[in-house]
Amino acid sequence: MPEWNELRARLNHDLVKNRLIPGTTRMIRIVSGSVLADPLETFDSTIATVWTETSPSLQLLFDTCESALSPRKYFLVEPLVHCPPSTMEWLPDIIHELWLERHDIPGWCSTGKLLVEELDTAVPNARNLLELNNGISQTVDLVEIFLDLQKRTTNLSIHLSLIERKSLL
Amino acid sequence: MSNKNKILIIDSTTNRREELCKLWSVDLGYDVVFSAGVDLFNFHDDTEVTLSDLINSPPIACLLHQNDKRRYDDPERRKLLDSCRRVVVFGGAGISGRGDWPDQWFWIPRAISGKASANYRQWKQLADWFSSESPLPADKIDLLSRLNEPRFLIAIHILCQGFVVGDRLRERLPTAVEQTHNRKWWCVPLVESVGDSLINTVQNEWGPDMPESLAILVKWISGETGYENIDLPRIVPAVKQEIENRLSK
Repeated sequence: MPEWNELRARLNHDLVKNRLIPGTTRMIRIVSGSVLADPLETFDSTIATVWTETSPSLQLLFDTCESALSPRKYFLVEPLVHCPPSTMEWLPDIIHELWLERHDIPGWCSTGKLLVEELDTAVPNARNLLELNNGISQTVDLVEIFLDLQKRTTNLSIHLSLIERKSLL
Repeated sequence: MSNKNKILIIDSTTNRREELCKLWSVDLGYDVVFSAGVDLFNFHDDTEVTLSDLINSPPIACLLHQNDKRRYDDPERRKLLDSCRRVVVFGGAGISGRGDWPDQWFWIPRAISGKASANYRQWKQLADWFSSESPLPADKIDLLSRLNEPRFLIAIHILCQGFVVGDRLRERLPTAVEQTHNRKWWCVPLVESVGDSLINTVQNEWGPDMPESLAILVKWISGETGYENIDLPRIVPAVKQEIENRLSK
């Protein structure tokens, strides 16, 4: 359980909050003309490579959430490991069901996967548009694209924060 | 002679011992000496090591399974373990509290089933802690601070949920009502782990201002005189709510 939460917190803090979101801010400044830098080079180093690294880990995070966080695991360790077999027959399953329902774990996972899928599409799309606009004066469209990308990464970060351990009992 | 740090792993369960030896030798770069109970061997080449040689050149640490703790009763082995800088006791089903071992020993209070019981970072942190000349306090080491998780509060919360659900799902779980209203049902998991000290354990996990409802329930579970007849259907939902509030802080 702690390992999963550690991975979630690390992905959110180190990659999404500290690299992707600031990366989109920098791109907005570049495509709006307030900062002078190579847009494609900056995009590749601040967003594309980071997302390539983050996306599979996030997929794994959402895929393993249910098994990693389920309170059913408490029956494998002290003190609930001592529950008699007659209790083990029903209580772990019921506790798991209650937990899924109470916190809408499947909903949280599917929303998370959707956010990742959308970014999987949005990141290469943004790159394609940058390539098309290379050398041409910057357009409002590009600013919109990066504002949208910033909104999506921010939403992903908020979503990852929703499942803090304290709310999982 | 090797410059690597040396560790002694004492565990009579073959699979788990081999996993741990491999982890400490291959992944963490230690010179591993292991024992399944009596004889001592170098892990890297399976050659035997004499007890006296090892005492003369003692390991910096020893991982000792709780079921093999009796090896410490032998005076020669006691000399060997006492010569290690740090001894950490670990258990297959988890250790709930400090056992009757020397005060300077540490323990990993939750299930350690083998290499996969913890992630690499946590094992590495423990390995660095063993070899450090100016180590962090033990409560800063993840594997040793597992004690800090409020496991008994979580367990009581889960048992309370079982009680409430059992009452609600009489048709689906016909035996649950009978089971959960029985003191044995609560007592077995909780008292089995800590015996007479359940109230102190729960109090420690809660901290100051433990609510009366929780204290009453725990005293009933512990079989304390004067708490034989309590109003479970009233107290259990209240305890459940109190624990939820406490753990979500």
